[in-house]
Amino acid sequence: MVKELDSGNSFRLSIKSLEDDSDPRVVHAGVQALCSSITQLSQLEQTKFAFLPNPQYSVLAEAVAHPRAVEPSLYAGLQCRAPLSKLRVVLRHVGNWLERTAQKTLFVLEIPPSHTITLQTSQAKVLAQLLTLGEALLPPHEFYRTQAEGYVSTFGELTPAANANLSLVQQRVGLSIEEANELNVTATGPFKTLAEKYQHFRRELLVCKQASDLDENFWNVMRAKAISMGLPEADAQFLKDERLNALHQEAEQTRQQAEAEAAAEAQRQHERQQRLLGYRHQFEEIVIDSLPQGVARKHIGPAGDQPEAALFHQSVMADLAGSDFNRGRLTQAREYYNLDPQEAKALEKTVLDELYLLSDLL
Amino acid sequence: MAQNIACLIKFVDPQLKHDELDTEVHYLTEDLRDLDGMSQIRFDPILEVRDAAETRVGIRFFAHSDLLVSILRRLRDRLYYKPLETWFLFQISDLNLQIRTDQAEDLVDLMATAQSGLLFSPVRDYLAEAETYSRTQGELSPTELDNLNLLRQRLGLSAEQAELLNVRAVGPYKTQAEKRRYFDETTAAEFSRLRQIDADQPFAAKDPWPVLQELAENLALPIPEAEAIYQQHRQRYDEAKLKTEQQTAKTAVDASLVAETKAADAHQDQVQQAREHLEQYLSLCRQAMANSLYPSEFDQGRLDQARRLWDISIDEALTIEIAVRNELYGSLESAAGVDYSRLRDLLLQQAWQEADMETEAVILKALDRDMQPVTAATVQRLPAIDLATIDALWNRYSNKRFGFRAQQQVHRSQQQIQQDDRQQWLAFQQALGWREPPSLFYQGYRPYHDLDFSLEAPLGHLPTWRWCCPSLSDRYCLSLDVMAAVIHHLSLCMPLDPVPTPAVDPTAPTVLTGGQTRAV
Repeated sequence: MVKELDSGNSFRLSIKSLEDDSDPRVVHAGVQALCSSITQLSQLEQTKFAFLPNPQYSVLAEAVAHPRAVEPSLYAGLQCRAPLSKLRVVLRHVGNWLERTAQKTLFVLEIPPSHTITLQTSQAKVLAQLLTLGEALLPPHEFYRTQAEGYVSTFGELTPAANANLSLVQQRVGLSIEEANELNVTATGPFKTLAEKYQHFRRELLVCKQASDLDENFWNVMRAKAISMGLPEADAQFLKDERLNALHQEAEQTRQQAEAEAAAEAQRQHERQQRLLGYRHQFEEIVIDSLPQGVARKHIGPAGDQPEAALFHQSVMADLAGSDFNRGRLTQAREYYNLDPQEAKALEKTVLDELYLLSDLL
Repeated sequence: MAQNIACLIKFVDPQLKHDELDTEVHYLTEDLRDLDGMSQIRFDPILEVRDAAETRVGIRFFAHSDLLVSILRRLRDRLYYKPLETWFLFQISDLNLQIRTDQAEDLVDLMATAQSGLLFSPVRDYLAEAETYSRTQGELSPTELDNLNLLRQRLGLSAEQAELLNVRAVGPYKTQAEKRRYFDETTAAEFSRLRQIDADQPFAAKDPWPVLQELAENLALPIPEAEAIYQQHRQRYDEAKLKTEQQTAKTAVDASLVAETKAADAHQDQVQQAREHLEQYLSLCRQAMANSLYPSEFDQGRLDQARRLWDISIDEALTIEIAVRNELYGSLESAAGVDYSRLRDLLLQQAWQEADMETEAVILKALDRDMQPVTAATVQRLPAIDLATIDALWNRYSNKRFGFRAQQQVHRSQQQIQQDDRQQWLAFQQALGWREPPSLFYQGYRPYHDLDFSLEAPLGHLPTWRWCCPSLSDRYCLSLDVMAAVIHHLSLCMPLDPVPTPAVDPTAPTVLTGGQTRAV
């Protein structure tokens, strides 16, 4: 939960065996057992330990005496730094450990701002004084606020579990409920809940209308804003990704919409072309069907007999008009394709022109 | 229960020169000696060699524990006025407390601790005992409480003080059961919060276990027990979430089904479009044939073009045209494969005589008689469908005046009037206008050309049954057995509705008419 341990929000505990007569291996095993059990505590999995080597134990001498010895060194103690909120849990663990080992041990507890408590004992009951005094020396407001801020920086708000922990802290350090509430308000910042923070941050991100707007400079500003409003980094990043996704989707949608519109326009044009082509084809068929062999020869005869194009048109159209059947077909085709009369006429003229030209070849 | 505290105060500010150090030590000693109860205290100097000369850098002394607060207050005040970096060491029983600071505030917490009595016996010793007990089990067992009670009495603490110290050691939840309950409630609230967030817009998911584990540790609740409680809630939460996700997945599947349905709909649309084209063609046919049995040249042109445009096959178009023609002008259905279209044309033109002759032609064709008159034996082979078609055409174009059914009705009415069989057939022919009443020198037969081929003719006059006559040259004469066979066959093929029977009054006496039932 507390991401960075500095001397202001953490304690340092040094433990060193003072048993000169004990087997160094037993002491070493005890130190390792303690180290292992501390790392099993919540949020202490990544705790770094410094081990204090046993000054009376020479690696070289041991290596000579036991050539197959593999331990590089044996420890007489350890040193670690942990969040202040874990003081009680760690010291209780150490108490359990001391009860098992019952070795005379030196404990040095350093707590902010500048206190160092030293205690030598082999009894867990005496060690309990270290916890009592250590907790008593903690600045209550500072300690509570640090803890509350830690929760807010992780969850963006005081969750039920965080509140439960804070309630225990409040009672332990002797703060009143009102004082605790005030500190909670300070820790949560201007927006009380994560939902409010999300809402506000999302609104701020709406300024970006395209992905390129959300550049590094803008994001640096937004990160600072997230910190000031108590929105965790992970949540800010989540909202950034969400906005970027939305912008990409919007861009994709816009592109698809443009494509769809272009496709619709192309389709309209295609349909119009199809109508024109269809009518042209039907008109050709009607004209060709309407020209009996003899008539065709009359109109599309040898080049020398060709009438002028206009006359040809007039003659074909007169033939068409002369037959009720052909008129019916023409009427039906015109109705079906629903063409502009001028368009229809232009098409008919084109067809007749082509037929006129073809008449040379026939 | 005062105890002695060994105190050491040493100036460690590197800026101080040795003469300044000496002066500060002097004033510090004087300040402390000035405190109540401190005048008799012996202050030993701490000497160090500075600049080749032995210099006082601090003092050490022993004081009663009840003087610690006033000593600390004085030291704090001194730091307020002159923030010199100083090293303080207080040896209290087994504890060595060191503070190295130039800030007055850094002594405030120690002052408060000293004031609370936590630094000294009896409070310190009682609390250490209670803390030791609660550390192991997370609660104070009855035996431990008894022990603590004895200790309290030995140390001279009040019951209220002891209770406060117990709470400090164990926390607000005294028993493991209370702690479990509290942990369970908090875990439930935590997952309830997650559910609320899930219901809203998306958020960055975070594992609540570390903080709950921290709570369990703070409550001194065994971690496996806490984890079991957590897992119960987690499972419920995950199950609910899974259900929601399954619902979402189902919605997605439904959406894909919708897409499939759309594809099916598209196919359906094509089928529908083809159907619409047929409907449109049908409508165009009706329009074209509304006023004439056969469309005009112009309408034929339209129909032909429409058929091409709507992609209707010639067969389909023909079927539709026939259906429309039948619908508008009467059906030409035939079981014998006879074409009744000419008969329909003639009836449409009200060319009654030609229609009558065509009727003879089609009936003979249906019976495959090759212009040979029909006999009583062969008439039975006339298909009912063909009889119905001929009757319907005559009926339609004569406004129900002519046709076989009209003739059947005339026969039924004569049946009811005439008792004698022969008289009945005579009356039937007379009613149809096919024969006149016979006289001494005249049998009443009319020549065929004298029949009435108009709508003014008697009911059922047409079509004649000339197809039963061997010769029509001088008279239109039908044999009784053929007539009986025709009427019998018609009654089988086209039975008339039964004659309504008058309601019988059960009280009225039965009257026997003596008439015989005659079979025709």
